[in-house]
Amino acid sequence: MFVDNITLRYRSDPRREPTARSDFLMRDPYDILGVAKDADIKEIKKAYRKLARQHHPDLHPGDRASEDRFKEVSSAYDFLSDPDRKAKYDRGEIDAAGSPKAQRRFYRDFAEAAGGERYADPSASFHAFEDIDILSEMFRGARRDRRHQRGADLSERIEVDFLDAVNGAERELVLPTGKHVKMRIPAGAVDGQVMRLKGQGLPGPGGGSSGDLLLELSIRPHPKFTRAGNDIVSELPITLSEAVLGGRVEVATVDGSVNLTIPKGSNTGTRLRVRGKGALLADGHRGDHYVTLKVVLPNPPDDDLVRLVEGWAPSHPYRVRD
Amino acid sequence: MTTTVEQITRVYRIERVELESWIAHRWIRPAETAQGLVFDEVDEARIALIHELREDLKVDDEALDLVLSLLDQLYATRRVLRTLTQAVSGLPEPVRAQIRDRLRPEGG
Repeated sequence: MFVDNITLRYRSDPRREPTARSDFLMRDPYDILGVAKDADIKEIKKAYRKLARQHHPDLHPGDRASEDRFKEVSSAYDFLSDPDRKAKYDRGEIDAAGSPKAQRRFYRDFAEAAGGERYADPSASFHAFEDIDILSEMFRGARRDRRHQRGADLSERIEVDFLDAVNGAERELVLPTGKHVKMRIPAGAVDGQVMRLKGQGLPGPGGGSSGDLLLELSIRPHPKFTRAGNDIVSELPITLSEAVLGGRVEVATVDGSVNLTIPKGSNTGTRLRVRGKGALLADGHRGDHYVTLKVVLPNPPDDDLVRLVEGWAPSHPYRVRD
Repeated sequence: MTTTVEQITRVYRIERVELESWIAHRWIRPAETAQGLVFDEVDEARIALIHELREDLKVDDEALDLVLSLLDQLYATRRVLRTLTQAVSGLPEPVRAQIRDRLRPEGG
């Protein structure tokens, strides 16, 4: 057998002879494990298990210092897990001289090198570099002739008027490079939508094609209109007489003004629909416009109205609250 | 340097059937040669890890399957990251500066 040729020794190998040569004096093993001096083997084991979980180098590949901490903790545990040695140490007969161990190479020392590839998850097929999903983004469209690499994409945010987004528009844009380009804002564009301007990114090195410019649209709110999907919502103030008696009022929509009939007996909160005056859709149709009525009393109060209500109210009580 | 089943079971003090079950689980994948199974240092380090996970950290066999799978994914990701880092370090300085800027957290 060639046992002696094995450089790596498992640390709890009981055949390991304590070496006479003591290279370093270990700190108190009880201190290292964070247990009381009178801790029994059960407590020691529990403390060790917790620390080993925290510091095992193979479980913390990015933490170089974990190796030293783990070695210290496992030496302390090794030392105290031998009842004979523990008893001698407890009686003060020996000190905590550590015996230097064969250089241990942890799994992490191999796992990140080419050797570790053997143990790569076969179901995840990590073989090709580009297979890692987070990186594939980086190589999208870039696996062409390396001498003519495509330039990098640029991204910018631009503010767009509410009505331009609803109705669509063509606007001129000054790029960070100083170049003026025309861009078409599609009808029905929504906040956060990204537009790609082909070939307006960085030029490609070595004569490759230019990257694209990615524009994220940030749509400015409108003072009157709010968008709800393909519909537009607005509030419409009406007079007391328009509410009570009905009438025709002009309403602004994103597609021009329209005359709207207020039905007799309308109230604050009444919702009326104006068909086909909402946001423009890709097929050329439009969503609807909804107005929510808001009854506004004369301001300052009208004396005649006050007298009228004084005469009317006592004989016409009505409940508006629960 | 390679090691045989006999050497492994003696040095790491594990039962032969135990080692065989680890191999059956594909936790350990030794090379098969005319002289039987042989283990290289990667396998050995992994055997030490599995031994510690089971004995010291009390990870049971079902959980171990999951732990190893996550560890293998972690190391695969770190291998890729390392390759990426090497690729980046070979780029001209202005490009590396651009990458540094991009990696800086917002407002940092």
